Amino acid sequence: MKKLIQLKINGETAEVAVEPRTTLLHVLREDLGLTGTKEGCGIGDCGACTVLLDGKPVASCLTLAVEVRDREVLTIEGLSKDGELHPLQRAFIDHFAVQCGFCTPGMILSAKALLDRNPHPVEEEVRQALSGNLCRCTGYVKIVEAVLAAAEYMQSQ
Amino acid sequence: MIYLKSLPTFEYFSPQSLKEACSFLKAHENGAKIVAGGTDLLIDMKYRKVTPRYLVGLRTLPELSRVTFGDQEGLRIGAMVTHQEIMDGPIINEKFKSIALACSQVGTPQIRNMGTVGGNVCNAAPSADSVPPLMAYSATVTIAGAESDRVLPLEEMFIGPGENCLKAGEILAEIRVPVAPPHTGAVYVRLPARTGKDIAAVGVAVLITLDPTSGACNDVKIVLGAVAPTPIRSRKAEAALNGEKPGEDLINRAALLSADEAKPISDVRSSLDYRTEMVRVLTGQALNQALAIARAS
Ligand SMILES: Cc1cc2nc3c(=O)[nH]c(=O)nc-3n(C[C@H](O)[C@H](O)[C@H](O)COP(=O)(O)OP(=O)(O)OC[C@H]3O[C@@H](n4cnc5c(N)ncnc54)[C@H](O)[C@@H]3O)c2cc1C
Ligand code: FES
Ligand code: FES
Repeated sequence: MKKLIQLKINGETAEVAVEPRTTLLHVLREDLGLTGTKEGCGIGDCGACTVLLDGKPVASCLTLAVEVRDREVLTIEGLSKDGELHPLQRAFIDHFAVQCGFCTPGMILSAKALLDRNPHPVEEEVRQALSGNLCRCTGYVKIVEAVLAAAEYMQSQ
Repeated sequence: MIYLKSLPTFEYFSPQSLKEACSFLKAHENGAKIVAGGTDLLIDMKYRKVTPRYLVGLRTLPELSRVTFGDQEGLRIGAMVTHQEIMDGPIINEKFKSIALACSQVGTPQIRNMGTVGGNVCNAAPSADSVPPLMAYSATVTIAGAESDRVLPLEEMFIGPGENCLKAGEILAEIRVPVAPPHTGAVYVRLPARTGKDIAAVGVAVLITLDPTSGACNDVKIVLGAVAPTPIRSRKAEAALNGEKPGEDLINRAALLSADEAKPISDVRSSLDYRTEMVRVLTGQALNQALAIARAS
């Protein structure tokens, strides 16, 4: 049976009818058209489906939409402000940290959660924070550089 | 094995109290399951290993998400507390470091934000990382039932791989960890050592309390993870150390006894022989590290 639930996504309230078995990932992509969040493995391994739930990275493929009621979801679509890219998004472009782009939304959200908690991370902390996000293209080096550069830029602002 | 990306159909029940949750589970005996973080259960459901008719969510019960500490009653960890909350908890880091360290080695940041210590225990995987250090601290579990509650030593929770001792209508409510006496060192070491996607191939938790005057072991707990159908105490090695002054020879002998007590299997992660040898190596390392902490404290 479908239930009507309210979710707070990227600062806005959305009302969706979900079955208990509907994942947050499915609601985002299929009901709300927020296809920035990707589905890779579907079982918690790859991190492509990462979103921030109350500020913390979670795997939306293993999150029941009914359990997200009244909590705050941030997806990659919610990062830019007034058409301005977030410094992390900018840094990913400038440092060639994006190849196919499939892992990028999840990577950026994991990186944002890190920088929110720890604005001056060292390389090892960046690697730890991104350890739940797989990338099959870049070899990670450029991604780590981009996150460190974004941190530096955000400090200088 | 194949899995589907969509979950099988079920109804979701959100109880208003722990008792109501227990009664619901009891009434639907085999058809209902608790969902905590879902990081084990929802995957099993995608594989169609389990297809419960009802899932009972515990998020509406804030008392299960609390961590409290008192000098007398020790540490109390609600079943719904996540691995990340444990690894960030100031009291746990100060007084129960080996537990915080074990939780920091679970999965990935995403999994640690979702997965709960109660789920880790109830899922009863031999490799569950939070269990060996909790067992080494002689943790107990408080189990809520439809009619009455009961308290058990944590080590009695486990029956076999994926099998716990909970009866119909029972829910793990809380884990209690007593405060260890002074001059205690507790550690958890596991392989692979780095966090990531690899679950433990071997995990060893050690807790040693020393007699400050004689330097002998007053109390030793050695718990092995991932090398038997359940996490196990290495009782022969513990007995070899208890009451003795631990020197290099004795530690080597205890490590050999642990390797002998382990009953590992060969699987994709490691062979039986490798696991047995690593129990010896890790037990030796863990004993030495725990001793160093106990002596310095
Ligand atoms: C990518 C990945 C990596 C992982 N890495 C590790 C690792 O390194 N180490 C490790 O130990 N684990 C690992 N896990 C397994 C898992 O994340 C942990 O076991 C986690 O603690 C499970 O908790 P949960 O809250 O998600 O449990 P759930 O999936 O919600 O529940 C697990 C089981 O316990 C039952 N249950 C849950 N809570 C209760 C309760 N309070 N009372 C009664 N029954 C209950 C459920 O009905 C279910 O059968 C990993 C999982 C994934 C997906
Ligand atoms: S799709 Fe969720 S972790 Fe891979
Ligand atoms: S850029 Fe292709 S997976 Fe990371």
